[in-house]
Amino acid sequence: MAGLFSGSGFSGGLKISTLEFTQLKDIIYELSGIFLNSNRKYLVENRFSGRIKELNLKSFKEYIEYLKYDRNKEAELNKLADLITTNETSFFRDNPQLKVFTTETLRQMIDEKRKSGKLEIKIWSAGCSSGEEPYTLSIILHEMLKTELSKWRIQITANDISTDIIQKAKKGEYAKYALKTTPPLIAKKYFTESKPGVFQVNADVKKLVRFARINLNDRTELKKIPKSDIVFCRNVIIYFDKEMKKKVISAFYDNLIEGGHLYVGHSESLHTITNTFKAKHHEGAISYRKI
Amino acid sequence: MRSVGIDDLEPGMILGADLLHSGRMLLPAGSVITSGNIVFFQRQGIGDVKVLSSPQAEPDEESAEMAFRYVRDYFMFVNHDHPAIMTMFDISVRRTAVQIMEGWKLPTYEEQTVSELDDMRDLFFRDEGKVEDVVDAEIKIASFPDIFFKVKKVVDDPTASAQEIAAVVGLDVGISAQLLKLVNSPLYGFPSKIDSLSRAVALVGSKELCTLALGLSTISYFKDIPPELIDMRKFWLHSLTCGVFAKIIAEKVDGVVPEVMFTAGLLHDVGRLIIFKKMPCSSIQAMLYARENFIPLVEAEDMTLGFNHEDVAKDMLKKWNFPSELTDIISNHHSPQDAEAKIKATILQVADNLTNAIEISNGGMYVLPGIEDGAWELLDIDADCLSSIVEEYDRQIEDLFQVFFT
Ligand SMILES: C[S@@+](CC[C@H](N)C(=O)[O-])C[C@H]1O[C@@H](n2cnc3c(N)ncnc32)[C@H](O)[C@@H]1O
Ligand SMILES: [Fe+2]
Ligand SMILES: [Fe+2]
Repeated sequence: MAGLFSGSGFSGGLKISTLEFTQLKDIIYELSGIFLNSNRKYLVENRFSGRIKELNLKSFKEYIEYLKYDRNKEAELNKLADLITTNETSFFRDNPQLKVFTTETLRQMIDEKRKSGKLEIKIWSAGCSSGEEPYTLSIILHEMLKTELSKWRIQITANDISTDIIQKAKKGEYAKYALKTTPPLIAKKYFTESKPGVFQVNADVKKLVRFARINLNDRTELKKIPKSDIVFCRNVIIYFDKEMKKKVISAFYDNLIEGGHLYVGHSESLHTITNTFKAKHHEGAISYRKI
Repeated sequence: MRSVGIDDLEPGMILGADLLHSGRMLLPAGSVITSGNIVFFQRQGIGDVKVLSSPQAEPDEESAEMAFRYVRDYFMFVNHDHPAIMTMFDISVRRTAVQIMEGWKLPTYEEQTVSELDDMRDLFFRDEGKVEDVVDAEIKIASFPDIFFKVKKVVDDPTASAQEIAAVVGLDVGISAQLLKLVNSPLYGFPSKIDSLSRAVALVGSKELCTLALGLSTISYFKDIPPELIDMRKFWLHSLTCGVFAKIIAEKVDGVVPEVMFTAGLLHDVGRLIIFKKMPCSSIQAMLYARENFIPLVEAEDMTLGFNHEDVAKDMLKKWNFPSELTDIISNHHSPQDAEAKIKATILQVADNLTNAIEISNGGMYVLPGIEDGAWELLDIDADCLSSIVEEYDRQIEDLFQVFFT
């Protein structure tokens, strides 16, 4: 029985040498801050082989040269992030956390702003993937402000390193799967089934969100983001090493207004990264506040 | 899995999916079908039944092609040039192809993802507690079944006779019955029936019997994990499969005494159960993260929790006072070169990978965790023998499953 299937393409992929792996890993890190553990060697081999063949290149060596010197290297660097991180996300991902956000952060903020008469909220969704997270935030604001919304200036800035995924986000079309953790009533209210199985997020929700391709490892680009009341960066820094985490979190600190709020993913914490934020524990989530 | 008409159903087949009839559960997936069941199903008017397929069938080319593409994703993380991995890939493709041929619809990515938990809470947030806190929280609420320590005591006593050991094991009626079924199963392959514990001690050896008793009592310790979190039958089938492989492989490796290997396999992922109980939300995150990034669960745990089920098992088994050899190999089943008993830990790692490989054709969701560089060579066995090991397993698993799950 052995040998029946081996050789028929499974090991026909390209091989990466230890040296090449180190070079590629460094390129990726310099570009995006994403850190690849050495045990990802085979994973990289398997995920990149297809792409390398697509480019009509023959080896990892050629690919690395392409990334360094080719005139199309910018475009290829964009592709890199797609090959090494997942864009996995969904609407209303981590509901317990979003509940905490709604009741503990947003409600108070809205009350305070109403009192001060400054009806303006700026939110930054960093590492937004295909848009589910910023659109979810827009929906939460719609639910909260209802008809009052027209009086408010709300701006949700949403970025990702991947050009392709930003295109997809702008389109706002989703498969049913993206709504797996969305309450059915919300899905009904804010989405239209434009084609069978295709759910289009409504224009009102879209209107509040502005997408742009931005690399979190690019300090100058980050400085251009408008000052925020709230930053969401969930399930992104988990890919970074400690140094990059520190860099990104300090960029959020600079971007936030005094007393602004930061939300990170369930498996992420600022515990060993910084103490410039005040952590508040809630049922099922932690919120961070700039002090 | 395939559908079998009620008239073609035979005792011994394993139910592939929960059998429901007008909303009522007649028999859960994984049950071994008895002739009594068949008569009952006929009376209930059941038309056909899903059963696990027989592994001997030959796949056709189209199914093989589909299987090849499907299985490849699960081998993303591992070295394709590794002789053992290559054989496992072949085994997995073949089994998957047979399943496809018999009507198995490959699960889509969406169907396989884990859903979020709304109303469970972790013991602590990320970075706010340590492995020891998780373990201590578990130990505080429940103590380990007493039977094991009693057994351990007589076994450690060099003057204790087989009768005395048997008498102590016999204090737990449930476990004694299971033990007897186990030593009479093809896994131990004794030619005549063993009908008393003292004979079992004499034939199997006191150390092995005691370790088995430990394994069985550990399973019963974890019987109350909430089903929405993890399918315990699947978990124990994974464990049992790994145990069978570990034992058979160990028998083939020169210079290794295979006793304890079955139990080591049975308990190898026990750390995951503690994580489930104490950090349910993070467990879900780890599973999602593993799926989304094509990485093994153990690695995903490190990323999402900051520690993994090896670390938890190590601390837990120490605190439970498990035999040190068992603790050593279980705590290093993903990093066998760090173990004292490197060869045994490697056997466990190979067995675990082989288990993952054959689970793919039954809807397994995780990539193979991989074999440490340089580990396999320590065993000095031919990779081809993995195929015959799987065949041997196929002949045994139905009976064994019954010992544990009826
Ligand atoms: C798993 S998704 C998280 C999406 C969403 N925030 C959520 O929690 O559901 C991670 C995203 O981070 C993006 N990303 C990774 N490194 C980045 C970087 N250096 N700059 C910007 N985005 C990055 C990836 O492209 C990917 O879309
Ligand atoms: Fe494991
Ligand atoms: Fe395992």
